[in-house]
Amino acid sequence: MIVHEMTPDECHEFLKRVKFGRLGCAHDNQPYVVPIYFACDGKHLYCFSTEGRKIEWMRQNPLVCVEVDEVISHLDWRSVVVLGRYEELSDVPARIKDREYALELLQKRAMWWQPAYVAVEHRSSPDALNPVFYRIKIDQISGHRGMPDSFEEAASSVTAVIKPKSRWYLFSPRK
Amino acid sequence: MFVRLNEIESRSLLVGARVGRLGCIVNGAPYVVPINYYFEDNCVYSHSLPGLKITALRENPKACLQVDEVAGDFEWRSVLAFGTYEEIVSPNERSEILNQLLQRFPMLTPVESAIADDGGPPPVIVFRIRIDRITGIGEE
Repeated sequence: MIVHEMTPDECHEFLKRVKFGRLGCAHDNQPYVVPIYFACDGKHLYCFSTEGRKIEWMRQNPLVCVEVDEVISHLDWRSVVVLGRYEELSDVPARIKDREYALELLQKRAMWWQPAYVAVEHRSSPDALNPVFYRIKIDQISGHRGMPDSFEEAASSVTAVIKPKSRWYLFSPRK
Repeated sequence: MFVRLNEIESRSLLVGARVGRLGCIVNGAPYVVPINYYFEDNCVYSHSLPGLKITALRENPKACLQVDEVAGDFEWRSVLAFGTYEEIVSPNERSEILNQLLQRFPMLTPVESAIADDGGPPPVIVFRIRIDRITGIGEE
């Protein structure tokens, strides 16, 4: 298998197409990961939720990570990691345009408010019904794509060989 | 309808899946990567090359693994297991776990591939996340 580093353009195209990923946030040095739907416009990932633990945590620590992947087979997969910042689109006059824009992007997915409102049924907090629009500003994006090498394409029995130059594990931490 | 998964349902999802998303903390910020793993005796077992997640987990061993099954927009389950990172150093235990991993994932992953290519001593890191809390939700 050859693991390629994806270009920023490839990463953005991928995010626009896939729209589903896992959001990581951190609270007291404890990581927390949940699946999310999002809409990406190239600079931000726009999301919708209701009040809950992940929103509370992101208000306290806005540094977040979104991982988006697509696995077609062991030899054909993509994984993109976004490091970014949580920005709440509050219901205030200054944010009206951003909220409308978020809604416009999110509405392209049918039933876009799911599963946020469904989850509310199980919460007792009076805040639970408050809609929260937010976006994640993309600070860093990186992606990797695994694909069969020419030998694997030709052979039915597969032996994986990674190229020495592969940067699979050379992702640099955020400064 | 939204449901909260009970302990048995959550565990069965963890046992049945092969890919999960590992969450760790890098300099106070979250970092999420997909991993192949197996779940046994209340632990998530996996392996990795040295890199960002291993450096991060050595520094702060708090980790979580998120695993889901998505059948459709209104039919999905997601489990989140919280635990502590432990590196496995005993040669016997390492080889036992690597064998288990290879049995479950016969297709070589980038980790073994790099080893195959180097021909040198395997730098692979074998680790477990000892799980102390599991939560699960879903819609059906």
